[in-house]
Amino acid sequence: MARMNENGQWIVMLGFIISIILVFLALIVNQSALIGKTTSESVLEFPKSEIQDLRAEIMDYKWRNDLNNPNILPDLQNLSLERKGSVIDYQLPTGGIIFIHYNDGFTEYNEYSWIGD
Amino acid sequence: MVTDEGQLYTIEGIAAAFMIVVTAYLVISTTSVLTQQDVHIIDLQMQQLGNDALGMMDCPDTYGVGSQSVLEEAISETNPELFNQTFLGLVNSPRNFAGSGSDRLNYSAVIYYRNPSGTIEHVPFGGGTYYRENSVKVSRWVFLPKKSSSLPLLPNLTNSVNRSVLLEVQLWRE
Amino acid sequence: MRVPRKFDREEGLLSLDFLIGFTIFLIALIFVGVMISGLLVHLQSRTIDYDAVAYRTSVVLLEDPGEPANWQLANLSYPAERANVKRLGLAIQKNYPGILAEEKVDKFFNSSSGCLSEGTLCSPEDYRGKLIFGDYPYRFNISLKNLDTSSTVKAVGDPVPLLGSYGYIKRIVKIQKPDSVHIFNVTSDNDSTIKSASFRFNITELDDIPPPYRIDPLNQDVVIYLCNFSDNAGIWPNITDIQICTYPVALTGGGCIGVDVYSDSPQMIVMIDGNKTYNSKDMVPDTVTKNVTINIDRGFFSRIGYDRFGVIDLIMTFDQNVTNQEVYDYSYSTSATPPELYPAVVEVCVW
Repeated sequence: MARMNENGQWIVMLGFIISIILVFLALIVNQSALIGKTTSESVLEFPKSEIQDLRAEIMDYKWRNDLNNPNILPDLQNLSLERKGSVIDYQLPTGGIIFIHYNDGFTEYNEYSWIGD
Repeated sequence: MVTDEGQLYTIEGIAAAFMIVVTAYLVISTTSVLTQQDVHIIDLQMQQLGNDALGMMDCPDTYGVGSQSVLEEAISETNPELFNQTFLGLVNSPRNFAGSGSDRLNYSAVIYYRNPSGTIEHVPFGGGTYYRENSVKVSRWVFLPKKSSSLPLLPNLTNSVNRSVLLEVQLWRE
Repeated sequence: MRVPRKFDREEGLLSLDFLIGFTIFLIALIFVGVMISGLLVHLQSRTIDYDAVAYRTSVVLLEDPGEPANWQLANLSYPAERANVKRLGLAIQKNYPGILAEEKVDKFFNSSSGCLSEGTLCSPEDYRGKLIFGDYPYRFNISLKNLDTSSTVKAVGDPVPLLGSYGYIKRIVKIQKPDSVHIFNVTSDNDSTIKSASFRFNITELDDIPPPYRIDPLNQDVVIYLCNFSDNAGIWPNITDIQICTYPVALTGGGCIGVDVYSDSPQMIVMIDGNKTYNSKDMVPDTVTKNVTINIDRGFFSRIGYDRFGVIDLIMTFDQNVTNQEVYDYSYSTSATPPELYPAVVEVCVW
């Protein structure tokens, strides 16, 4: 019976083990690198100014006691959808609380805020 | 004495060494990283500046009957010149510490509003001509209080009640 | 012809051991070679991030009122109060980003070398710990220029490097200039029927205006100027008592307290005729011949515990009739210059 060639068993086995260790290390340490985005992209993507602007506009109506204006929602919704591609919802104050919703596909913002009596 | 024994081992050794060197070179050379950050930083600065300027122009300096913000005044009284001077004065203001001149930002503005039938109409509102520069778009909702007569700039806007219009400004560096 | 049991140098055959080991090694090497460029990104220096740090600092500074929101009232000579200020922010209120309070701006840019004893912010430790955050000791320069006058530039931090890169952001803001003096007149002796001049701070009414234009006696300085005094047949009026009261006493648990109890700020100082200070404890009569100026430091009403009431009255009692008005309203109509906003440019440089 021909004997199995046992030469090089050590080499193969150690090579195998070292390869596995290398792959394992690389996979684990690589979890966080390059999967995220650059900081500026994240900042550009977050609609900070849009949300602040929307709230400011609705508060403009509040300071003139005109929150029940029927034009608020159609104006904001249609213009925002057509020009900025974002969805806005606004609900009239019930019990002194108004609801503002903003969604531009990346970020969704909901707010229930108390505006007093 | 040079014989031809061990040739395979030699070739194997040379090939391994070659591979290691090439890999190491590739690895080190690819770690000079990502310059796409630079482009986004410029966009970020321009966009924040534009939004700040529009936001501050939307804020009247005093409160009370008759106080208007710059945006409201420029739109209600059809004064794109006022908007031009105030906006460019804000975004192109020179650095706090002397040594560099003013910036060279320019803009092009359009106002969008909803007409009575529900469609969106737009009206240009001054500014330069845009060719192909790297630009950002910033926008601001403008609150127009109700007035007894319609605004000459926005003829199809029913302003017998308070309305909101969208001012869009495209901003670039010349 | 193949010779058995000798190495076949010309057959081009490799042993199976070698092939398997070589294949596994090669696959692993390719994996590692592709991924290792990601491994080394962690070791990047901080140069790329300066712009991001500058932007973040500008947002925390200009769009946030700070923690606590009235940190401008803290007396920084006391370490406990200094530690209580967690975050520096200049905005007047949470919902008003970009509208700054002038008192906060003044306190922010007032840093000195003797900061611990003088009660000012320490540069750079306080700014790094309460504004920029992070482990790396960034160097910074924050400057503010008033666009209307464009005269002085307020700055804090190291000078901006001429060579070398730094992170930079430019922001445009509006600063709220608080109201100035409120001027009231006493009436002549023929018409006056009341011995006390009452100044009413109707906080509820004052709060009916949007915050950027609001008069806020709790967090801003109060200056009242009472003038036009006349003598009654040669006898000038003397101030007998000054009290601060809240109403109604029974329901809200308020009451009246006499003032000039505190000798350090925040305090109330009453100047008579521009040169004498009112002092109820000495035997000298406090005679008024021209005018009375009342200066109440910001934070004084909180100090005496009256910052939770809707109406506060300051009652100055004389020994003669001085007025026929029951109450003088400290409100928007009596202010010489109501609060207004002025634009400014803030630049943040980080390196």
